[in-house]
Amino acid sequence: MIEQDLSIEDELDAEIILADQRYEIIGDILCEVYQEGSEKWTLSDMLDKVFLHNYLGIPVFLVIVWTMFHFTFQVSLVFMAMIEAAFSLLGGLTAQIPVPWLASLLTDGIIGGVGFILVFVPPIFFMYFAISILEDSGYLARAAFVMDRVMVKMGLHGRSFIPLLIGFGCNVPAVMAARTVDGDANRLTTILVSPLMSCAARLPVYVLIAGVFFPAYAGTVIFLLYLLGIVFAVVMALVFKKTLFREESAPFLMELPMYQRPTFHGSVVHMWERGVLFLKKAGTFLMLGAITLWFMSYVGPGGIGVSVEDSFVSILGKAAEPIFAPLGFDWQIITGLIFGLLAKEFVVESLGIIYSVEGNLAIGAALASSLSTVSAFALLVFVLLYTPCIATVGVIRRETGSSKWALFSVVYQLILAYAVALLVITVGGLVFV
Amino acid sequence: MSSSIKVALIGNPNVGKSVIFNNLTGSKQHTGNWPGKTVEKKEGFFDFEGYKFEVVDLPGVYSLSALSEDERVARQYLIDHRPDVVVDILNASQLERNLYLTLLLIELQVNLVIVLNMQDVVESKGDRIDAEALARRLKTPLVTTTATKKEGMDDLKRAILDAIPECRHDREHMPGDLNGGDDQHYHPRYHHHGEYERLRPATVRYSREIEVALGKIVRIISKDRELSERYPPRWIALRILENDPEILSLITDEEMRFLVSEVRL
Repeated sequence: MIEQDLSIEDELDAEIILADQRYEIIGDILCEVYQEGSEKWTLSDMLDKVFLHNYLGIPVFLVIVWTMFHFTFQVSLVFMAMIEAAFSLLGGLTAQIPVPWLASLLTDGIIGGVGFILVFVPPIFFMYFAISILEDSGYLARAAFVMDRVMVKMGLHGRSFIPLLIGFGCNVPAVMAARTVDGDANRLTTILVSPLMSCAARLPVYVLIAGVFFPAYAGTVIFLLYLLGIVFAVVMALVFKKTLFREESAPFLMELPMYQRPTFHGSVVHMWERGVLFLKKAGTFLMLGAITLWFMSYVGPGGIGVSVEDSFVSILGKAAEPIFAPLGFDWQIITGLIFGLLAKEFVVESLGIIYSVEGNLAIGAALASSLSTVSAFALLVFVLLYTPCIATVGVIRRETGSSKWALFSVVYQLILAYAVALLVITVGGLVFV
Repeated sequence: MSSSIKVALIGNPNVGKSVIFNNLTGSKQHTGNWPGKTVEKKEGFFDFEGYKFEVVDLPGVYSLSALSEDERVARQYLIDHRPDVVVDILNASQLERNLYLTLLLIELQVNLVIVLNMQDVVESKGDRIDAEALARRLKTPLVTTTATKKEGMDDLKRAILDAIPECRHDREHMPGDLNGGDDQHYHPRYHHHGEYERLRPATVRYSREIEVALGKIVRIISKDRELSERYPPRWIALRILENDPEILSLITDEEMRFLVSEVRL
């Protein structure tokens, strides 16, 4: 073929020379028609000097995000305690219903499950509030720009970071946002790594586990997990890029919006719009899941009202126990992880239900006795990295148009999550024992 | 006049293109997808001075290479549908970057109207743009607007109407009819490309070296009548020089393909 005779340098040359000359022509035109104003240094320019600084950019980004998580966690604590108290009061009432199965359904299933997940509404709302502020002020686009510069330096496609950033809210729109990425291979890479970004649904797990095991630095631990999500997304993107696909990426321009003072009203509206989606999910999908989970923990092969140890959830969890033995997870947690494949909220929900049916109302204490600190951290990492939810898998299938890639994303995330969790256990075992 | 006048809006992302589209068409619009693509397509229409205008909002793009889906959609539409008027919307406060697309559109020889939008931002920065000089330099009608305040919309409608040659207003145009020296307008229905280029020299000229190469390629492909009548030959030559795979695949003749690939800088 003739095209192959042309060396790649030649092709690039012509394109670059033409682009150069076009910019030269534009420069000439601007000289003739454009006169710059006297106010050269605007506030926006000054802020950009700091936020987009070559070396300072990333540290500034990290400090801002850390502050955000710290704020989210600290402010939420009070509200979480209030909601918890309200539900335990309610649970005390429903437990007195004379029909035993109804009392158990309401107390353990609905209040223990859905009620427990609602305890984590405050951190989710505050996190959305904080993200809205960052977004409305125009900083988030700069953060994307700064991260992007790093990714381009590593040979990754530039535009990918924006979908990844969207993944902080929810992985489903993140996968869809990969449409903006140039080139099929680049787009596929972005689709495959965006589920590694820590979405809002994982937050309840983090808040619960970090609150029990690392109460003093819960905010920092959560921040680290989010950071780890970014790191793994970048690492996996590099791995895919080097192994599965090779494609040249075009340089790209990023439009930075103007800085704006975020309004309290605007941020509250944003927080409410996104938060309400979570509440709706809790009222429908999670409610249905809670009833199913409760039923499975109330019923076993031996009949109705068996002890949890003989119920279907326990059978399910125990079947997978050998696989997770090296990580030190017991069957209650494993069942949670299995249901977590449907949606991450189920991890917390099923823990709430199982412990509640067991009659163990102090979930924190129950967790503390069943997990070592190292295992707890391994659990956090596992939850961060394994398949986020069935909706994400569905959207990956739709966007790639292939069940094969959807299956691949599930498998690689499970393997990655297990491998990294095992690494945490191994390294943790060396350091702490 | 029976048929409506086709107008396409194009511009970089975030230049206020959608706002202008909404200002022009009001509620008379509908949204869909481009056939077979994941890119959104918005169409609408408006009436002005008794004429009916059909507006298509093309995706926001920085260039017209065939790299991203957005760029492919925009480019394909301009080439295949040859809208009567192409409105290129620029963010006036980011002229340098925005003009790149403008130069590409000039190369594509569409019937261009330039809009300098976000005039308010330019003024607030204290910058000054000599719009008349710019229009003269690019040999293109130019309108300044602040779309968010709906300023300049009537000027834009007037400019779109004025950009259409008289012939289009009242009667069907015959091939080869130059309409009393109106050689400024270009449309495949009125002139074939080679003739247009003879009549109107290129606004954007490159270095001698490139122009020589372009001339060589134009001469080679002029033997393919189909190709040189469907697309502006100079534009084709530029794409071939840039090794645009989509354009290269249009050349069916193996020998011709070999000849053009021989032309290097």
